[in-house]
Amino acid sequence: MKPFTFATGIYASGDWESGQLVAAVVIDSLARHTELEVSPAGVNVPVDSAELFEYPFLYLTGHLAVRFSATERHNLLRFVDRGGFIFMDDHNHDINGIFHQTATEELTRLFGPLELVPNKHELYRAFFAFEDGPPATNHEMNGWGDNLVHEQLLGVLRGGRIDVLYSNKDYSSEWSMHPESKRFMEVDPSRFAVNIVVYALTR
Amino acid sequence: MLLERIARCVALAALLWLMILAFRDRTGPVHAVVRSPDLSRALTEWSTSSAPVGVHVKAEGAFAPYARDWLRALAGAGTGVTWEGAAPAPTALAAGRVADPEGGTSAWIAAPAGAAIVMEDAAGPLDSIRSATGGARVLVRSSPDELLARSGSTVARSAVSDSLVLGRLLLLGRAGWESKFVAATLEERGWTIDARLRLSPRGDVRQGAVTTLDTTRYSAVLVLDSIGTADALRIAAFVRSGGGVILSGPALRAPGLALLAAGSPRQPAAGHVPFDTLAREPRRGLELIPVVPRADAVVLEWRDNLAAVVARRIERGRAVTSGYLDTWRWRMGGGANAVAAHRDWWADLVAGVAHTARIARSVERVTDEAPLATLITRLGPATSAPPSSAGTTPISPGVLFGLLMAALLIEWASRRLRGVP
Repeated sequence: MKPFTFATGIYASGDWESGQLVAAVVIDSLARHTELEVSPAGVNVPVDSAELFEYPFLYLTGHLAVRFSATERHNLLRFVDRGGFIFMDDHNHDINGIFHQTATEELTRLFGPLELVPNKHELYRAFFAFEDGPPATNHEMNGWGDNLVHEQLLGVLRGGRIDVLYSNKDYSSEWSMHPESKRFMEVDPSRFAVNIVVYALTR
Repeated sequence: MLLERIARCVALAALLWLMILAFRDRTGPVHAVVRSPDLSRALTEWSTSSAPVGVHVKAEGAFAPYARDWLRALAGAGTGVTWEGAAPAPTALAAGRVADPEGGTSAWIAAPAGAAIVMEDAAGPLDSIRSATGGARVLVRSSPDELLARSGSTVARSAVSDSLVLGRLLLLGRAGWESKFVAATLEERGWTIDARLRLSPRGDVRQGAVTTLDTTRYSAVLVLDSIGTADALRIAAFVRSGGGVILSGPALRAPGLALLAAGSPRQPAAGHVPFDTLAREPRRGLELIPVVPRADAVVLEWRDNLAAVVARRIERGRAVTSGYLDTWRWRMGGGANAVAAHRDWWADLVAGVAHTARIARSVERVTDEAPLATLITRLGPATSAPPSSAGTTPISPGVLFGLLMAALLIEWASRRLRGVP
């Protein structure tokens, strides 16, 4: 049986490769907290290829403008229609930045208007409990400290189920670290990633 | 003198014979032969105004069920019945409701290889199919009360007079893509799924209230990975009491489930990566654990010479073992109809094992599921010769009358020659 594989989508525009440490951190958290069968390494998969359909969990990120090609759009639409799950995260931390504008525009074009994911959604209880909705990042709270808190995530929901989860909280920066670094932290910052993956695998 | 006595005896015998014939003529013909277009009228006549000793029907098409049963009743009442002519094509039809939330009726047709069969319901034709060596199976998506299989002039008809009550499905295994997509595809089909999926030491993922495993709540259990011995024992008891179980993928290798499996696993055979979107046989793209069937098992699906899906009966229940791994890859990576095809395939597996409660409906239908077999059972095989019954006579009335007159003439001549008045 194929184990869960964290797949990062390669798209033609922008900088898809900006979150290359994220896969290792998420895989580490899954291995620590769950009994899921997980591939020890993530893969980078071209969104415009047939290979995309071998990985029903797709992570997309970047800082720059996103413009999907016709093949990428066709594949993403089919990917979601068939039950695939997309997690797209704005690697910037700003309001209405270029990635956010173009990415949400592309998602809206493909799947219709994005909805606010309620902070009581089962996504926030899929494994760890996040009573107040999506956990804040260091960027929001302090760290580089811009104090721009995004209260809710966005998504494409069908019958209450999230097919596409969009975040502009910059989890990609929050989870860009070497897994070993976690031992110096009081709380694993990528616990929310476990919820996202478990939600995608079980709902 | 002797000659006169002999002649008188012959005359009396001939007279007696003629009287018997005359009496019989008043109650009906001794033997009737009729062509099948006239059979309806003749049956009425034979049952009311005449009572033939024997009837012989020259069939020019299939017998209507009522005519066949009427003839059987005549035979039961002592009339010799035979028939000849074109026999109905050896066609038989059996139909039953499918254990599927989408409904549907499954029809199994036995007919000569290559025969064209048209399936019909009361509203008209539904589908057509050509019979293979082992017959044919047609899945009708509607739920008619009656189905007909027409092969040439022969019509086999079957009534489906009950409805099914479906329970839930219980999904057991490990959290992963296979469990997610199998649950999704069966929920899309209309099944209600309870699930318990192993996720972490913190606990399992649960969907629905997973309660006592019995046939009042569950129709079938799907096991997609290894499970504990206690669960395996509960499933075995559930199947023995009439429930169904599907063991898929890694569950084949679970030691606790070996008693339920329809076969034992062999070395896996590889699939295609990435999935071949245009494959004519999409399941060839999947990795397969071939199954070595048990002696009491039936192979439902082969891949080349490897058994892929195997079924067996366990007391009152049924078990299916599927060796395919990661069937979700078919749904995700298959061609344009992959989602529907994947759903249909899983629904078909479940329908094959699911326990169902039946509600009989008070719909009375005339059935004729095997016209030829029933005809032979009722009337015997075709024969070209009319029956030789006790009522038939080797001598015609004219001959008897001539014999009578001749005997009287001989007696009269003899007496005149002797000078006796």
